[in-house]
Amino acid sequence: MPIITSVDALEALYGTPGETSTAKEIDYISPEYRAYIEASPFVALATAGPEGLDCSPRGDAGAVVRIQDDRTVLLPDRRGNNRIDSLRNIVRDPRVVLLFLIPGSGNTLRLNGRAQLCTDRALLDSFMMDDKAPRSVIVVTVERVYFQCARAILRADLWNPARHVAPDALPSAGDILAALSNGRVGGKAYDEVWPGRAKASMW
Amino acid sequence: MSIVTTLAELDDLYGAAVPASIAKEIDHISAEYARYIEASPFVTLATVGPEGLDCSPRGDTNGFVRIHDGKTVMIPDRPGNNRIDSLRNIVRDRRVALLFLVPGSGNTMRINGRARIDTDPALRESFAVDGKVPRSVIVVAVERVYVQCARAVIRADLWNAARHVDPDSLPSVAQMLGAIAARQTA
Repeated sequence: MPIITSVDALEALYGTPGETSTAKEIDYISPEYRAYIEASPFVALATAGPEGLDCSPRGDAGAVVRIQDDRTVLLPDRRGNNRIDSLRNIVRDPRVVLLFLIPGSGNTLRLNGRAQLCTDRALLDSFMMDDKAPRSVIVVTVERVYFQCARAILRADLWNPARHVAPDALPSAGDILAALSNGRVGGKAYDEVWPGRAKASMW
Repeated sequence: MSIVTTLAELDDLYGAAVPASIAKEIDHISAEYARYIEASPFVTLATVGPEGLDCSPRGDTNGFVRIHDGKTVMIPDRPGNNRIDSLRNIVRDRRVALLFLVPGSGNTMRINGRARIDTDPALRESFAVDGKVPRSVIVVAVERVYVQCARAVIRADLWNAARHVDPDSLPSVAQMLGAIAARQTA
C-alpha cells in the first residue's frame, strides 16, 4: 500500500495552505474570538504524555472556560471518572490544545497553549457549583488561537436535532460493562443507579 | 498559586480511578463499541509533532469512520483548509487520539492508537462521496478503546437545541478576519 511517510510527500499531494487559514491565527484572544469562547459549553482537551495522546471531553453549564485575560484561560476540572489521564499528561508535558464547540454554530475555535494545574483554594472556590469546588483548575497560557472553517460540522449536520440518535437505540453503559465482564458487573442494575449517582456527583 | 507538578501529588489529590472506567478499556472494538462508532458523524483527532499538539474536527455522515476490523479504523481525509497539520504530525509521530461524539447520546467513545496515511487508489475510491475521492485515508491501528461517561455532555446540555446559539449573534468569518487585519495594520 502506498503509505506517505514524509512532509515533502504530503506537500506534493496537498499543496500549501491558503492565506486565509494562516491569517486568522493570532497569539491572543481577540474580542471576536472571545465571543466564541464565551458561547462554548464544551471543549475537547488534547494532551500528550509518555503513554501517548489523550483527547478528553470537558463540559460545563455556561462557558466551559473562564477567560482571565487575553492570554489566559481557566478550565475547572469537574468530576469525571478519576482516570485523570489529561492531568497526568499535563504535569509531565504542559502542551495542550483546546477545540471549542459552539452548539448551533458551524465554526469551531482552536486554542493551543501551555497548561499548569492549580489548586489555589480561592481559585477553586471561585468555580463552585452546587457547593462543590473542582479539585484543580487547568490554567492555560495562550500561544495560538484561530477559528476553523465549518465544513466538518456542516458535513456532520451536528446540531440538527432531527439527525440525533435516540440514546435507547445504542448499548447503555450497563450493557457495555456486562458484555466486557461476562455479566460480572454492569447490566440493568448499573443503568438504574447511574442517573442518581451522576446527579449526586455532577459537580 | 499552588501548582501540582508531579504524579504523586496528583494521586494524593484524586485517589484511584473509578473501577468501571478501567473495566471499560479494551484493546479492540467490541460489538457494543462498534455501534457508537457507526452512529457518530463527528470525531476530534488529536495528533502531536515537533511543532506541538493539534486537535482537528472531522465530520461527515454517520459512520464515516469505517471499522475495517476489530483493530483498525479508517478516516477519509475530506477537503479542508489544506493546513493538514494533523497529517504533517502523523508522518512524523504516529500516535493519535480520537474522541467520537454521538449526537443525542450522552456517551462519547475514545480510541487511542497509531496512524498512517494511505493513498492506495482502490482504498481512496472506496470512500468516494458524490464522485469525490479523498486524497488520503488515515488508517488507525487501535490500541485502547473505551466509552466515556456522560457528565461532560450532560453538563454542557450539548444536544439540546433550545440551548443552541443563533449563529448570527456571533462574529462572522469576514468580521473575524477583518478585525485581525485591521489590528495588524493599525
